[in-house]
Amino acid sequence: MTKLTNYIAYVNPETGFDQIGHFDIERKVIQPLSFLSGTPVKNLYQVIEAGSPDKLVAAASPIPADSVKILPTISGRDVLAVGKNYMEHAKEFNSSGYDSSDKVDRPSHPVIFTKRATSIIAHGEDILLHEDFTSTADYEGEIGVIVGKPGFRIKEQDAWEYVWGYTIINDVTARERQRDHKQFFIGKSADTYCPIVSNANPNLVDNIFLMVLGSYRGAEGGPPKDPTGPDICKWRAATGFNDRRSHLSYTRAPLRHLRRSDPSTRRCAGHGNTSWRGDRKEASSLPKTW
Amino acid sequence: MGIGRKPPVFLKPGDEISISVTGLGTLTNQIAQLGASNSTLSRINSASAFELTNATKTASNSADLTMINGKPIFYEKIGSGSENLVFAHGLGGTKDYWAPLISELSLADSATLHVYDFEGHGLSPTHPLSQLSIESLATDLEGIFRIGDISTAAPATLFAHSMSCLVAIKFTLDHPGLVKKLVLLAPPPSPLPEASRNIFLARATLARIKGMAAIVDAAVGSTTSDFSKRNNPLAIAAARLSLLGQDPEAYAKACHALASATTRLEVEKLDVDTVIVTGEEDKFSTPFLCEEYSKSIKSSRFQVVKNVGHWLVFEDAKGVAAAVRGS
Repeated sequence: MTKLTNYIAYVNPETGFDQIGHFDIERKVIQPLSFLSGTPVKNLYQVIEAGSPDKLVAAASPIPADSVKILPTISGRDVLAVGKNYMEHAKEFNSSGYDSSDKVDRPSHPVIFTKRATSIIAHGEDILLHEDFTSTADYEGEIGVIVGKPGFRIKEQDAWEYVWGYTIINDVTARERQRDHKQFFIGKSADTYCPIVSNANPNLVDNIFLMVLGSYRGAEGGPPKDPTGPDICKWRAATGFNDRRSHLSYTRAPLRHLRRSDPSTRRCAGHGNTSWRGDRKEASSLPKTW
Repeated sequence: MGIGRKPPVFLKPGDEISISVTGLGTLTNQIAQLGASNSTLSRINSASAFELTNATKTASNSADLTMINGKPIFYEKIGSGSENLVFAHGLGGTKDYWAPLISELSLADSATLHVYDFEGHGLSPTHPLSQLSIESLATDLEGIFRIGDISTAAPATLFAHSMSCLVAIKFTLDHPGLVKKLVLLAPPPSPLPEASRNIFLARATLARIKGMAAIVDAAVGSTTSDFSKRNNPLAIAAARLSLLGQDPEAYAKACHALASATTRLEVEKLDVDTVIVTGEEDKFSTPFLCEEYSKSIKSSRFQVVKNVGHWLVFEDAKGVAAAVRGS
């Protein structure tokens, strides 16, 4: 039997409760999951805390994914992110005219920022443009790295032990806000600016290469435009510049990853990209109040 | 700001910073010594994504609960007689199921009674990761014996109802010398037949989706006698209250435990005095089944209580008391 570890968050149509299932990408069906006790799995945090897929079992019949409301695979906490973490993207960003964080392409230290938890939405939900807030909304495809356990003073060589799995994030940004306010936070945390896909998978950990394909389709219709084409990302690049281990190691210091928060690490050049993730909560409506 | 001073000041261990605002008071903090423990990490480490199921009925996790096998269990010791009596309630029951029988037999006057709510039932919480089974409940029963100081020196009489009869039989077989007498009220068949398994699994699903209200009519209707329904509304109300007072998720877990009782218990190996009592109209623990049990147990007695079903203590406490007494 295939391992039921492609965890998807959705609303159980019968109970109305949030639940976790296994998402069969090919067949587009969700296999509801429960713990061995029969208690349904509520969220990804529980999956992570349970610690082993052996503690989860299939419960009830599979349901078509398009028949339920799907949720972001993980939510409730701020997303800790690393900017400009590989050369091509750093160059691209620095030459765009929207980078006020540095005068050179390659930063001497990783750029660490957060996206507010309230900006998280699910796959398929609409992104609000916030037209009174920005006229330069942009997208970036990111691989979200989900940190599976709390840590403090994590050594760089131990960083992998803290990585639980991966998900997909769209790091939507109001570019002129990012530029004008110097800090990235406001431009990246508007409501709906952090779409997270519904599933997360711990089994990509050992993949050396992941393919990230970014594309967008203009409002006028037509085929999707793919400005960058598929990008193969080196998963374990040797340089500290492109190495998530060092990013974990950097952010560990004062922030310490909240258990089960999800740093996303930026990768692959072009508009189809990846960024980081971290912590915390709270409600605000940035564009309105700021 | 320290950098505003000349020369600039940077914080070091032992420094204290106080910030006062008119009308708000003062915020004061000290810089910790180097190597001090990180309380944020401890806080995060102790946080959990899980909440205990059925934990809201007790004032706090520890108020009236006793830790048994690492689980908080509602356990009470009543009386101080030299005889030990232990009571294990059934699916949908609580320790209070036994109150009418204890009263009828005046048991508290002469013996030490050990009553408890098994994991997830009554006032005992259960953790979502904790799997209930006949085996886990037997292990918890062993914990009750331990906490109740019941040893082979003064073995106990063990009363069990319904599902807990399987637990009691398993426990007695696994722990020779701790039980001197078994009182089994309405024991289920062992192994549980496929049809019964499916009923309990369906009941678990229904409880999870729609709550206890959705199962109570069927659960009480099919398990109480027509006589009780006509003449004993208090018994029906007691059985309904007992079920409606359960947490649906915890109840569902116990249904799974019963449905998983597919291993046949070697009742013929029981070598303690055993009294088996069931209701005339019990369709689950039928008089026929109980008679078969009785035949296979060396030292046993079997008695049927007339006009009652599966909730026999609620339906006719006097009748059950007489059957237990053997009169």
